[in-house]
Amino acid sequence: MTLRNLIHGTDLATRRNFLGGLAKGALGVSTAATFGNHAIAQALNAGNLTLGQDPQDPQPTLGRATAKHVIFLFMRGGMSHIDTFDPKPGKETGGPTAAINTRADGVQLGHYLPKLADQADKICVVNSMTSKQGAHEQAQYVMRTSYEMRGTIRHASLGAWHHRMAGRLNPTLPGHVVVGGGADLPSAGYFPPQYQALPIGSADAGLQNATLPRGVSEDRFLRRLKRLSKLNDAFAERHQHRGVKAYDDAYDDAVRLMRSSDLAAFDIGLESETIRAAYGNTQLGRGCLLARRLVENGVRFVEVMGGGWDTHSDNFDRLDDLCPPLDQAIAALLADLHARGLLHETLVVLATEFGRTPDIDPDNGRNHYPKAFSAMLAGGGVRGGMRYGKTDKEGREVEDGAVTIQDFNATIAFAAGIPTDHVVMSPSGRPFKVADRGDAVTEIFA
Amino acid sequence: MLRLTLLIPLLTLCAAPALAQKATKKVDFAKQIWPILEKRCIDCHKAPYVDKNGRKRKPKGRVELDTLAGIKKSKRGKVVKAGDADNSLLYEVIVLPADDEDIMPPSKKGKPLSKTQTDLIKRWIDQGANYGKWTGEKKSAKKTGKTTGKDKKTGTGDAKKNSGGGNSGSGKSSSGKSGKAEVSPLLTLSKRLKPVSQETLASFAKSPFRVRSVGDDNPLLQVTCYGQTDAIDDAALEELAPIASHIAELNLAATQITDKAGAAIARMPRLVTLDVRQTEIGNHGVAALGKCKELRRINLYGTKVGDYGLAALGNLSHLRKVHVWQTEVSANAALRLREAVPGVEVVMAADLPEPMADNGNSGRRRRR
Repeated sequence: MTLRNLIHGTDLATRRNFLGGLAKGALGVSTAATFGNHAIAQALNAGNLTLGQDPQDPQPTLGRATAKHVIFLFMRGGMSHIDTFDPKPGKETGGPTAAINTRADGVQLGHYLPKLADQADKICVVNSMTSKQGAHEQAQYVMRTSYEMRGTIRHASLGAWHHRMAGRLNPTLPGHVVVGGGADLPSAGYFPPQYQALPIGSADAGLQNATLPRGVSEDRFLRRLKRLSKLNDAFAERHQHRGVKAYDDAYDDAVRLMRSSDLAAFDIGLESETIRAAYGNTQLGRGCLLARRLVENGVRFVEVMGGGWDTHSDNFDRLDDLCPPLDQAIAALLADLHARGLLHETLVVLATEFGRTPDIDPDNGRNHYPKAFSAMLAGGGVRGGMRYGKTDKEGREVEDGAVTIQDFNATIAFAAGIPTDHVVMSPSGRPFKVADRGDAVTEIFA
Repeated sequence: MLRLTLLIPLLTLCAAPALAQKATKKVDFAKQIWPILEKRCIDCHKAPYVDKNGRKRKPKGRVELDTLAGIKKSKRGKVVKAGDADNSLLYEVIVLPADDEDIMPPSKKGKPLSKTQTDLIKRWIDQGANYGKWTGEKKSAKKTGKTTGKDKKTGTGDAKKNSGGGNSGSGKSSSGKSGKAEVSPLLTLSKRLKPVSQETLASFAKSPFRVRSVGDDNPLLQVTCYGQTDAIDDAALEELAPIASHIAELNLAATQITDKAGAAIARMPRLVTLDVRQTEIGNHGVAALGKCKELRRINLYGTKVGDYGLAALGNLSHLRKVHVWQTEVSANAALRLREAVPGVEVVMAADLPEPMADNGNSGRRRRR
């Protein structure tokens, strides 16, 4: 009796249970509560399980989340918490930074962020971030993946998780886009390559090489594609590997996108002058504007990178340069999303890899400080006009409601409905969760 | 063959529990189940509280088992899925192998539950998870009081749901929040609602609409059409007729629909969220929405709607938010809607920041 007969000999319902149970046991999906073995069984029954496809791809049941999209503003370099979201006026550690009142009672910001202060009714400031990692690359890695950097594995970034768990909303556009990055792109890690982010180097230039080259007609392009697939098919036939398939899929996706009207989502030139000016003609401003356009068109996760926050010297002068573009961009983003009715379904995150030392150097610098720092969340069901957690009077220690980076990422996942206990096995058989062992801070949701 | 040998024990493993359960005696939650939970689970799994050292204690893994509301609200998947113990987290984690790192209670908190106990819990869930009169609320009333007091300390800001206008609420308002927390309409509306058949759902695979559950295995549906907006016009909405009674969230942003779409949308009695921004829908189409009594949010940004259409929304008593930026709607009409539906927020304008003095053009700003 072959396995096939064994399976087909049973009636449908039992077969499903059997396969579901098999997937649970054999694939190591132990927390099937959120996964729904029904879904696995269905996928297996439907004969979808071909080589190159990941058996864990059937999506887990998502929670009832209001955030369909995430815009993650990543301030690289380590943003000084005391000068931005956790001002300590009158204390020596506070430096010359003044605290300004905002539109929300009980939320004060550093004086570098006056425009964001006008939108504070929409934001939740998290003052109790804490981590143990004080080196840029490693800390950024933890912020993006929730795991410590290891030599033996590349972890999947939060954007890749969101893309994979929630799936694309717009079948033509990529699920996950990174704007303004350099070489240090977040990675899909051990996920299949289709969950890799689409990088957009400069928001102004939009998506490059998305039109046919000069002199190449549609017809000629088609012939080229055909020839390409002729060359590839034999190889793909011989080497049935998910990497090969992903490569082919990437081509298909790109061609579909080239022909789609959704391509316009990448063009911030289509925005009115008023809107462009409101976001500010800066790298961050343009990045935020592009992020809004992408989200409007169904992209799940957009990371906008900002940089230069590593203010080891001249901290205060540097903040004079760094903060206004951020202030402008994020205030415009929040106001714009709100007016368009998108803020409810879009979680806006502002985060950085660590804070900066409360003690000020002789040359007015602040150094790396992971022990206590701040982040900001808005929209996506998060209550506005509030602060969560606090540091002591000098901004040195978290006094209340400590939030680790894992907790923070779990909170983002929670907002997006991604089950934080869903285990995905890496190809090497290691179990991973979206936010490692982080616990979501649920108190901040309305 | 090797695979087969491997599979057979697995098969028996899956089939065994199915045969073993057929006990019939009704389990009494308060008398038989609660004592187990109270003794073995509640220490870690109770509503947030402040311990004697003033530290905030959250329920482990966000699972609360001390109140009925807590058991039901878990976002971590179904803690108790009535009638289906095998898919209930509560049961699943107590029958894991003793050396599994996810077993509950965890090994450092003592022995696993006995077979009698786990079987009892299984039987209770399989019988429909009847809680009898138990709600657990008496205890939690005290706890919630404490939590809110603590919240005032942590969440310094205002805790109001509607973050629209200036926050006038004082710290006091936060104490009221646990009381007014509204049960999600998605939960109440899905009660006794049979899911749409798999065949019907499958028939949408080729349609320009994407249809999926609103989440949490809820039979209510979310319908979007990103990337297909050119293909969707008034006629296309007819495709949604077979699932009209199940649609809770409908996103038709930037599609080709007009006033005529109103009639099709009006046939969706459980519609909670409607997004028709940047379409040609106008007064007549919006006026038809007066029939969707469950609507909470309507996004009319950039549509042709005016005062007449907005007025028709005045009888939607659940309405929380309407977006009418870049429409003809006047401030007076918005005011009248606010009078008709207390608590509704009408978003009329974008509160955009003033442009930067130098519009960010100069690379470096002047130094002091």
